[in-house]
Order: sequence, then structure tokens, then C-alpha cells
Amino acid sequence: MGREAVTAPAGGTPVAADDLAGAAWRRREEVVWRYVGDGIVLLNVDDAGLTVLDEAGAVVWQELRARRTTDELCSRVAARVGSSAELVGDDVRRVLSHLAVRALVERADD
Amino acid sequence: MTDTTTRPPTRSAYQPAATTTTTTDPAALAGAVAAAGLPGTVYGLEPAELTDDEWRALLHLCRSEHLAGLLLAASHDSTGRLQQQRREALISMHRQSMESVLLLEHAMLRTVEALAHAGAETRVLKGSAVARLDYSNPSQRPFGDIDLMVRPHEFDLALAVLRDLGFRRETQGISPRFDRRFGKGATLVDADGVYLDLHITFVQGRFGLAVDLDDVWDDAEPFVVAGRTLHALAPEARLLHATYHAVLGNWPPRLLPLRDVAEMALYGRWDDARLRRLSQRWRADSVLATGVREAWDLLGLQDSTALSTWAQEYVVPAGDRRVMALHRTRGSSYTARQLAAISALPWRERLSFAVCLALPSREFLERRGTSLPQHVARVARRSLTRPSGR
Repeated sequence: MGREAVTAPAGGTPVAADDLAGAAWRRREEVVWRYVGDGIVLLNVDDAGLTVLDEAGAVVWQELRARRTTDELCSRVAARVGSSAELVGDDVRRVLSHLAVRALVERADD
Repeated sequence: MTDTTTRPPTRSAYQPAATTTTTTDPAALAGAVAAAGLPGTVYGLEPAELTDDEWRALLHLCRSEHLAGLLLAASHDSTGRLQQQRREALISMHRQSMESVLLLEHAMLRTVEALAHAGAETRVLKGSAVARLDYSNPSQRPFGDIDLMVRPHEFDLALAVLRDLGFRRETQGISPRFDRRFGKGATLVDADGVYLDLHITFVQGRFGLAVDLDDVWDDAEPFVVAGRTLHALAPEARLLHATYHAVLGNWPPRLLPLRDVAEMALYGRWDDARLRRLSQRWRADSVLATGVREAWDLLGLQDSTALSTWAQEYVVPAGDRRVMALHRTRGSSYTARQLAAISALPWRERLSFAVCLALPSREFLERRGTSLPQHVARVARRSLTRPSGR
């Protein structure tokens, strides 16, 4: 889903699939980004690492404009693309993991 | 998901649009792209209808005028029909542009923080500030360098801070004293090829010296980048600066600066009375009127606003026309532009200005491959033929 840019990725922490369940997320402030076509290019200002998200990754990023749990994200993305949370769940979790590893999102658990 | 955010225009601000026409004329294509999404433009663009040669010409123009984002927006309505190959080439061009923009914002944050740490206040000009504050979709407003403004008395401090960050000055000013008192600023570049324009005022010469810098620094508009608060010019000064850049920055005029003028003139949150007051105090009515008029003309805008109506009716005085011509002629003399500035100065500063101009630093003379007598003779010769600007 998310596609790496040619530059080195940011050094976030790998996220285990189990950690995603029930967790809440938000965008990190230290990220600048722009739309490119249906995708998005992002830069983590901590290390100037560039990341490119395709259209599906961009939907997840857009829905992260506010704090969301993983389940909420799945529901909202499913509603956007006219599918079910179960069907989009794997893709959403893959994007979340990708974003977390690059320190583009952070946990926002209460 | 779309690449554009459509912003409903304020209908009270202008009148209904004229009939839209579509062009395939290469010279008008870039103008049509630059006008994409603006209300009332007579230009229409159907990228899917272009021949391969017309498409290649358009891509070339969009690359040189930094319009890939706007072309992508203009293509959106016909995305389904735009050939996949064309769309992929356009997105690739836009992605390169946006990656460069993000890296520049990263460098901008680094420099602004270093300057603040050293005690130098900054205003972000053009680029990131305009993209984030004046465009509904910042992705449509790329930029190729960083423009920062500092107070004249902090110019040397700022240069030292930037030198410590790895920037070197690309061109030498006439002299350090001239730079601080009468200069526009300096262009610097670092080892990664990041260009930074460090401004004291907006443009060199008479129009730059007439800007009241206290007005500029009295107000600001904050904006946030990666969680950090930076400061842009206030909306009225930002619109005025956009017209300086569009009218005096390049010849022939570039399309993106004119798009900036149109965006701000149509959608900006400026106060008309304050805009007119600043324009008069800075003796910039001719620049403001010309910038708005050329934006309307080149972008094919038919709707009128109070500002565009004033601009169309404004008659540029002969003196202003002569000084503007120095900025709008290929190969016009740097010395001639500087000499024209003298009329913007109070009488007590004119002698100091003339001495500074006539006695440049050794570095300035060496870079120009000239001697002091040759330089003095050149200044004297130019001063006999300079436009007074009055």
C-alpha cells in the first residue's frame, strides 16, 4: 500500500500487528506533506526522510487528521471506499505500521 | 480523492464570468494552466484534447513555470480521459517538485530556528508562507528557494548565522555599508544547492527603498509548519510584496507570481483601506496597479473587483514607468537601477548613498573585473542619463 521513497526512511519503531489492535493514533506534528495526484508525499523533519503514499495510503493519512483508534480508522476508510471494515482492515493496519515505522504517526492512547 | 480543494468564491467580490473559451495555442496554454480554478477566467483547458506535440510543449512550459500542480488540477475534471502515460508523466514531475518543496521547508525550519536562537527575528516571504496561507491547496504552489526577511540592523548577524549553517554568499553587494543601508539583501547557497534569499527589503532600487520597513515589521501573520510557528507578512504587505515580485522580479513576467497576485486579490483577508494606505506610503501604487492588471490580463480574468477596477483605471506616472522599465528590460544595468533609487531617499541620505555607490568594496570590484576609476566613471556616466523616477 504505502510506497517507500528512494531516500532513507525515518527511524521509527517497528510495530507488531498485535500492538495495532485497540491502539489510538495521530499524525506527528513534525511532519510536512503535500498532495501529489491521488497520493501524498511526506517528510519527517526530524531526519528529512521522505515517504510517498499511494491513493489508499493517502485515504488513511487524511482520516488521521484527528486522533483515531485502529478500529475507527478501519470503519472510516471503509465508508470512504464503499467497503467493510473487515475487508479494508489488513490494508489499513499495513499503512499504519508503515507510518509508525517512519515516525510519521504516534500513539495517542488515553 | 482529489488533488484539489475547491473553494467557493465570494460572489459579492466580483461579477459573473464571461463565456469560457478553450485554447490550444502554445503561448496561451501556460496561461490557461496558471488560471486553472480561478473564477471568471476566459481560458479553458482540455489536456486530453491536445496533440502529442501540444502536450509536450505544455509539459515543458509547466516545468519551467512551476505549474505542474495546477496542470494536475486542471486535468482533474478530465482525469478519466487523460491518457495514463500523460498523467503518470505529470504526476512524476509534480512529485519531484513537491519533494523539493518539503526539503526546502525542512531547511527553512532549520534556518529560522538558528536565526531566532541568535536573536534575529524573521518574516518568511513567498514560498512556504504563500503556499500555506494564500492557496487553498498548498500543493499547487511550489517554490525553488527560501526567502527570509530580517531587520537591517540584524542583517550582518543573520549572514554570520547562515555562514555557520554552511551557506555562502553567491554574490557580493556593493559594500557591507551599502548592503545594510540601501541594499535589497543577499543570495546564499549551501553545499546541497539550497538557495536562500536573505531580504532587507523587497526589491532593489527606488521601489525597494521607498518601502517603510517599520510598516512591514509592525504586523505579521503566523503560520505553522511541522508544529513550529513562523511569521509571514501581514495580508496587505503580502499582497503588495506579491505585486513587487510579479512586476519587478522577472522579465518577462512569470505566471506563478501573477497567480499569487490573483489568489490574494480574490481571496485574501486584507483590509482595503490599509492596503491603499501602505501602497501610497511606499509609493507603490504603480506596482500594485500593474501587478493586478497584468494578473487579470495574463490569466484571462474577466470578473472585476474593486481592486481590479481601480488597477485598470490607474494611470502609471511617467517617472514610475521609467523606473519600472529598468526592471523590465533584459540586460538593464544594475548601476542604473541603483541610481534611480536616489529619489526615494531623504535629502540627508542622498550624499551617503552616492558615496557608498561610488566607493564599492574591493571584493565587488574584483568580481566584476573592474577598477575603482572605471567604476566611478561608469556611475558618473549613468547618473547623467538616469531616470529621476519623479
